[in-house]
Amino acid sequence: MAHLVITGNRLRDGAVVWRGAAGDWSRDIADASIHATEGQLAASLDTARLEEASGRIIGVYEVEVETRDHGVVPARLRERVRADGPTVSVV
Amino acid sequence: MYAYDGLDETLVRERATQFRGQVARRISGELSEDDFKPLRLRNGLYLQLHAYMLRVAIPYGVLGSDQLRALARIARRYDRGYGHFTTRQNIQFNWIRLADTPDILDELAAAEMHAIQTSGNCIRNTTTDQFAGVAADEIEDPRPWAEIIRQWSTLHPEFSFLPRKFKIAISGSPSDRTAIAVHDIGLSMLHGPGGETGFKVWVGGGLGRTPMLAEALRDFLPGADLLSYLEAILRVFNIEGRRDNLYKSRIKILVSTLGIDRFRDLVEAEWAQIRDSALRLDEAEVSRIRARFSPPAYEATAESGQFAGRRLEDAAFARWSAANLFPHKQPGYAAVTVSLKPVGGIPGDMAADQMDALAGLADEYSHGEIRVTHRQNLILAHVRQDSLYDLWRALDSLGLATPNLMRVTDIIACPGLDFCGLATARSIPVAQRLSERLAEIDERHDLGELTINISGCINSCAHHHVGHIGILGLEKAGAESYQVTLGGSSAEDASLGKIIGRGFGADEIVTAIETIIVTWLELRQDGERFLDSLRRIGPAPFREALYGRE
Ligand code: SF4
Repeated sequence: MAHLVITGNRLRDGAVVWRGAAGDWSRDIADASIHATEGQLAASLDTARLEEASGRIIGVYEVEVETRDHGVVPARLRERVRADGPTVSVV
Repeated sequence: MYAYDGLDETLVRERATQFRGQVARRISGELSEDDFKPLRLRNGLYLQLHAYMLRVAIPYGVLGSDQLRALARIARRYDRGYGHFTTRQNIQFNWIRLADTPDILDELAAAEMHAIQTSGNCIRNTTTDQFAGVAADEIEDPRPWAEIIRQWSTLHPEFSFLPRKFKIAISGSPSDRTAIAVHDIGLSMLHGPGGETGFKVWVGGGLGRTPMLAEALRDFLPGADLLSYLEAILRVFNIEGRRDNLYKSRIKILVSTLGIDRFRDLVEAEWAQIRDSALRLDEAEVSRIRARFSPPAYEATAESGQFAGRRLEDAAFARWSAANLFPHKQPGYAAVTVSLKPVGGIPGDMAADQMDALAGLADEYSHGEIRVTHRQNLILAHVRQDSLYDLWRALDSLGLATPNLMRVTDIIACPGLDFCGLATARSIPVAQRLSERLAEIDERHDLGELTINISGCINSCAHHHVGHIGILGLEKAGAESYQVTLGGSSAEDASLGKIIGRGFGADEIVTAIETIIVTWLELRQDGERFLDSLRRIGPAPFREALYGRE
């Protein structure tokens, strides 16, 4: 199975967050817990969805990542933009 | 310009208070996201990639200077110091916190603004000509009619849950600057046999996955019947439109499935029932609304010799005047386009400081009024010609005087994958790189009118199908891929662009567009527009230049 992390957005401000091993939610993808088996992922997703229902986090889903020299990087551009912010500098 | 009456004020304040309660209940956990999402969308609040995005309505694109200052305050206090003007003449804030939105709606209400019906399957902001009330070729000012539609459609109980969102555009001039052909309903004003004001009604235009140009539904609709006829169309759509398939739910699909004749029969039958109802507009009511749009107190002034002189003395001013001024029906005045497309900048973005400064310039030079265009620029509609030089210098110092209206660097681009949750590719960086590359070519060769529109997904918010050159960003095998269409137009000669061939990667697209333009320059005759050359010679030379003889 591809390596997967769990993500969502914070309810209060919509900020992108990544789920850590202790069930904490971090703004930094480097803190995300990486799942290598279906079983691990399913268990974490179940708990994450309970947290979603309790209201702090919204839109929980899993994201495929690759481990590169400088750390964990999402496989898809969309998720890389979520992890790093817009690729353009604002006015 | 239109000022709120007591009813508008109460409605907007009550809505802000109601939303404050809903947000509190969401944050406390009393409301689930599933319950809350439709409520927040009703107030223009989306969740995007990095934060919430709030879309604020700017009815038919008209703002007072104090309203622009209020937007600047919101940008500074609740966002990251800027806002993004959209192709629906609205503004979006990209970095909003849920907990702040009730305060923002209060601040908007205090400035006679709101975010109602900027999302959801309802009738959205009616758009109109940015030169309404000003254009010399105008039959009549369309803004009072847009306001009548706004009042009718705001919280209309029957049309709050349509099969899909619904967009109306209205033009008062034979020159179409409102993209009538790609709206659910397009209204173009004309005079009837007895000289009375009315509309030609178009229906079923739209872009997205299935782009279609609108078809003529009625050649002449008397103004008094506008609301009953709109209501009849909406009613037929509400009943007959598809709700089972998101991609088939817009009115364009209904019209094309039934055929325009059958659709017309249904509308006319419905209309016969309601034509003489309370929806009939009496002249006194129309006049009451019209009075709110009476022209500002212009000073009697002749064509300015000073203006002509300055153009001779200052080439940069002359260039800006040629590109960004629009003739005014009042002698001695001009309408000014304030470009939000600096070369290399983000189309439609404006910093809070620029908003404040422009509000000041609007007060000084243009009767305190600013307009938003569907090309993501702003307008100062009433500037004396002998003030143009001073205004230009002030705009230039603010980075708001790029002389590029309708030119190759006046690119329309949606937020794309840098912000939008639905995007499949980025649009902003492509727009930035293109404008940097093409500015120099335009300066050397004077490319004239050539529009480029870039959408970050098939939803087509940047109307790429009607750009002379359209670019659609897709995701192919995990990478960005840009599909190019040629030959679109949203003007009175409306046409949909056709795909030229296979897509280009992110590192190829700018060169591909440059190739198209360089190829065209070899074939261009007598300073003709790109679109006219393309219509004359067809796409083959461009295809060959891009792909060789495949
Ligand atoms: S076209 Fe697509 S990417 Fe662009 S703003 Fe619309 S939905 Fe988002």
